[in-house]
Amino acid sequence: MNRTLIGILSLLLVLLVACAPAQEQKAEPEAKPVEKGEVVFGWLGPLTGGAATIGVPVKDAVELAVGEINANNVIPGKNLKMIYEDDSCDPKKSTTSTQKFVDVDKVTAIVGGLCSGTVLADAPIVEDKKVLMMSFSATNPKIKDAGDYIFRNVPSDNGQGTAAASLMQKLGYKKVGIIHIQNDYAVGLTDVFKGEAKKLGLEVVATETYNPDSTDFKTQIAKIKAKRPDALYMVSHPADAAIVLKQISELGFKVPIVGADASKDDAVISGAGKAAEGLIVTLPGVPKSPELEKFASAYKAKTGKEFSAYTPEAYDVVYILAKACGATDCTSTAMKDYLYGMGPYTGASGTYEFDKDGEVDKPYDYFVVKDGKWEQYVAS
Amino acid sequence: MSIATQLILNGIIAGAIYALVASGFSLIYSVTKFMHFAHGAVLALGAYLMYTFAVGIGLNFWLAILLTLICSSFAGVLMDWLVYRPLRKRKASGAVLLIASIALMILVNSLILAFWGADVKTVPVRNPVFDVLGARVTLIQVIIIIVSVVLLLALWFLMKRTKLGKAMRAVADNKDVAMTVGINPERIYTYTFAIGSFLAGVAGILIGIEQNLYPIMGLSLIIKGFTGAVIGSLASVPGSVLGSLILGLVENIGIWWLPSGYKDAIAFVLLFIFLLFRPSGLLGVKVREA
Amino acid sequence: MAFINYLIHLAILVGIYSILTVSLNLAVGFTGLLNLGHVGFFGIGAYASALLSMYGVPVWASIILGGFAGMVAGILLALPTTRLKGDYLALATLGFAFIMGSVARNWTDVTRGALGIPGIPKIVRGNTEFLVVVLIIAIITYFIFWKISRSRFGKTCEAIRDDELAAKMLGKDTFMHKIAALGISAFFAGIGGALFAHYITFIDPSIFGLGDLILLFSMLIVGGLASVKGSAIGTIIIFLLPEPLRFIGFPSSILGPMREIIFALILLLILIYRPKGILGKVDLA
Repeated sequence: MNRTLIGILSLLLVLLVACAPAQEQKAEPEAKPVEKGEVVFGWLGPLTGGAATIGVPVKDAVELAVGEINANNVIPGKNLKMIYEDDSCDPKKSTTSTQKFVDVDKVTAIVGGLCSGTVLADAPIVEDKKVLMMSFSATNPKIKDAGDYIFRNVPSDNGQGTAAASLMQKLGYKKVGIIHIQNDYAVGLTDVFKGEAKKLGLEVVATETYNPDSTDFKTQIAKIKAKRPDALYMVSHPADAAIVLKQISELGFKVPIVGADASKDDAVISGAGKAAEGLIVTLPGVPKSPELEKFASAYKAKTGKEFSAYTPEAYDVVYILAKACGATDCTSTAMKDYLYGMGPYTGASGTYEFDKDGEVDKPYDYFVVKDGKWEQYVAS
Repeated sequence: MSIATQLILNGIIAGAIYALVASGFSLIYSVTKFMHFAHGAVLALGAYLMYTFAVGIGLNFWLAILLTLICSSFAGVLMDWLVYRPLRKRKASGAVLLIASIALMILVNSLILAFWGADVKTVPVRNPVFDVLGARVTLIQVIIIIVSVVLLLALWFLMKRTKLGKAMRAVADNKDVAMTVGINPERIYTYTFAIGSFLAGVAGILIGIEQNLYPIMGLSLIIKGFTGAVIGSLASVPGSVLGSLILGLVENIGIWWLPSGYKDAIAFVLLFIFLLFRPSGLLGVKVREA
Repeated sequence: MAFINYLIHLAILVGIYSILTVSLNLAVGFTGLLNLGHVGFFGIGAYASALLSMYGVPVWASIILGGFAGMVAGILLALPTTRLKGDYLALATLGFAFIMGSVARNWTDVTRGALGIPGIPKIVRGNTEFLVVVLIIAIITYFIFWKISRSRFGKTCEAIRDDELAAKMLGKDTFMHKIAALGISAFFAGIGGALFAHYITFIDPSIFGLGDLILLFSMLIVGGLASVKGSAIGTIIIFLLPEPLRFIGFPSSILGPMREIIFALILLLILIYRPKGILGKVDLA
């Protein structure tokens, strides 16, 4: 081997090892002899990609919670540290990040993932390594059986699909078309919707799908339009929802549209403009309460904005995990057992309790886009 | 609305979009004899620059277009000077240039991703919709179709009637003989990249407005573009336009029967079949095989 | 120690990718077949092994079967394409990878389409044990390729690369050699893919994408064409190069594209200034 080669390899090795002490400090904070001990959580969600408009505000809410928890010493004697990883709602990235959380950062709990597909992909990893995971927004029904260590404080889509189907029936629609993104979240939700629609006597005349990152839905829309449905059920992320709505309008397809939780986002209104007017969506209910008010004003003070979908739930998850840590020896297994027996919790997103599968039961709200803004909607 | 008319129209629009991509790619291939994959990246760059000029900075719409086109041409020329020219000096084969162009494309795509972020961006314009023979088409879509035709004619005029065009054809036919009559091939290559990348810029602007911007848009478009070119004829601009039109039509009519997810698969299968059985394309001269 | 865990993780990936690189070298470096679709075999091996093991086939068997799946695909691809000229062969092989990606996305009954396949069983419980497995397989692979490079088969392949017409005139069956080269290359790519699937425990159609293509070619060309040792070295260098970036603390949204930028830049620089790579005997021309 020539000397240049040896030189390059040695340099690389030196560089790598030189970075090691820095990495050690970041990953082993328990070794700090000074002041308090530390507990490390990980947050997993999309900071880039089509669902980033949901993920970025959630990260703000989580930061808010972490700051408050540390300032008020909610976990006695311990400082809470949150490590944030961007998974772009892509299970491939989230599994890598989860493995990093579990093997390298040695987190006690994971807040997230945001997207159902990522939770389903990460579940085997955290179950195997016995690390606690709680999602604030993943709604796929299969998550119920994903594992002992998997929790969520949003209801399963069994409820959301039913809410959408019964709304359609109430509004008198008989024939329904479906368009949805190809991912675990949408497939799970539309499967529930189709089952409920059948029970309620609605006929699903067309189902069209598209890959994540698609931007041309005109032929899918044309195919649905040809079947003349009375209404359309759309399950999309904000980025694609905006374009779907735009192209539906361009193709002259005048049809009432019901969407799902992921589409309740200001990015849909700004991206689709007038085409978004009249869109109704379902969203896990967040009832007005003193806790919600407190969260809303703290969130506004921190970010200058109104709180958006799933921020109250995410805020709650951090607090719930912190509570479990404080009440036990703060290891994943002890915390998980605590959570099963915890009883009703009252937080910013409501009062709820974990059942034996780590699920909660919450009702659904409806929202509609009126005059370019989201408003609560009551089906009359 | 007649669904058949709408699908055919969708096919023509898609074909026109691919033709915008394929024409520049084909022009460059015909003169330089290698596949400039990074053409897709120049296209994406054009789209994102247009976004920054028109939306980010808020310049006058037409000024933004002008600036974008100048920058795109320049970007293409830069690619030639910095990467392809040194490789040509080393007498690199078409295969090497192909790999280099793929590397260039990934490089520029990643720069776009790092710089502008991964979320979809839109360039809002007033876009009225028209009814044509029972199908719906928007102003931008009409413009795309018209522009692709205009460009085709303009390129034809360039190649057949101007001195530059003649020089480009001379270099395309036989570089060494062209040198003997005093043509400087390197200068011709520069012009070729400038014109081709100008076309990429036009494509980027129009497609960005029509389909919104996302970081890997260049990749999917160049694949469709060179598929269209292969179908029609790689080394002939009219051929590549024809091939692109055929591709757009087959794709959109095809997914009337097949599930819509198969749209891309149709393109790839067509590409594969043509490469295997008629690599010279529908309009091309038969290519000598290995 | 957390850091050791991270190094093990890195070493596992280096091991898997080094298998990919050396197998690609047989086709590109030794035989002169510009196969841009190598990720196709990687992906086929990954999906085949994942699906088989989820249906109950013991993991060891499914990995080997993954390799065979890759090999069958390689032979099938080689049959019609080996007669194509340089860049047309490249495009056709690229098209093959895209078609495979499309199949993975649309054959939802089998592959779950864009949803991907989560929960793929691991081979052994711990990462350290897995590293040992990967290293053993990599060493065996390299030994096999080293033997091939010194065999008559290998020399004939190189002759085909240098001047196919001459080789034909010397009575060599160039067609069969090319088929065999692609087939063997694809087998090991399939094994690499299977190992990858069982390590990451999740795969989706993006495994067929262009992203890894540049990675592979950088490793291949940096290490040097037609050099078995070179492939190992190229893989190590390319993998280690962007790692210090991770510690400088770039936000993860920049980190992803940063790695791609580095690989692309390295590839371009090597192609322009040192196309033979570190230990290569020939360059791509």
